[in-house]
Amino acid sequence: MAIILIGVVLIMPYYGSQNSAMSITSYVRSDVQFACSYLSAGVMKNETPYSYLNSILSAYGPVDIVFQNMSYSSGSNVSISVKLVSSNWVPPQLEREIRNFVVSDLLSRRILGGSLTSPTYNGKPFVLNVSVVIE
Amino acid sequence: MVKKGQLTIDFLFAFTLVILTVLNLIYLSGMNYSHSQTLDVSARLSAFATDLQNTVARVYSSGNGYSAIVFAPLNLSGSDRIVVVLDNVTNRIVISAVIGGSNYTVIRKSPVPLYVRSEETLNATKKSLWVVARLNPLEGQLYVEVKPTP
Repeated sequence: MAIILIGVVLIMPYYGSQNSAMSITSYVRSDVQFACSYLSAGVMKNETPYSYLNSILSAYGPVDIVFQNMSYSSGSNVSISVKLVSSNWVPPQLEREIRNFVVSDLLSRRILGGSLTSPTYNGKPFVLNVSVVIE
Repeated sequence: MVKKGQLTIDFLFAFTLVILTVLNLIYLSGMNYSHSQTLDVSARLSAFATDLQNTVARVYSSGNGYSAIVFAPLNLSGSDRIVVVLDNVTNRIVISAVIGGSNYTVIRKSPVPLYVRSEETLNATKKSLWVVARLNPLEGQLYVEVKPTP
């Protein structure tokens, strides 16, 4: 009995952190990829989280952009960096608007807590960096 | 002593972990499902906008009296509708659609000059519109319009 409980105590935190790392990266990746397809299609859906992307579409038209890679690091805060690639010029506020879209979408799904400017994940501050590279 | 049909405590712990992962996956797939539904409608409307853009250019270059039919890009039912506006002020083709209760907007530049504003609505009973070129004899300009009939 004691062996089982010690095993549980050892495994649970590890499993929990792996699980939460896996879920937040999947959610962010899914949202960022959606944002890229949405911006390429150039069709505006008039609902709340999309308004950030719509401001780009109405000012500049469709933006061709693809997801390249992302990295995750966790310490005192949870930090995710996403790298996107475009072959053309991109609007200067693109990175900020994609970041705002992802954070507000995850806030509305109750995956993140806090506010748009200072979101939290599992009680830790959540930082999302979106960078667009022109290649 | 382990009896038949008795759950051991380590099995219950393991099962809790599996349930956690499965719930996560279910939630993630729900999110992906709603994303792909939005993208499906977006892609169809985007193709429709491109089709309309090309049709406007083709009708304009073919000249007075030429008309072409354009069909709705998806199956409209209930209160779904697609409103096509050829806007002469900004020289743009604006498509606003209500599909499944959500509003969508596509704005495209018109490849040819539009001298007159015209508007047409597609819905569950009316699934096509005509793009018509008409010469205005007073001004000598070729008007491209969307109309219910050729």
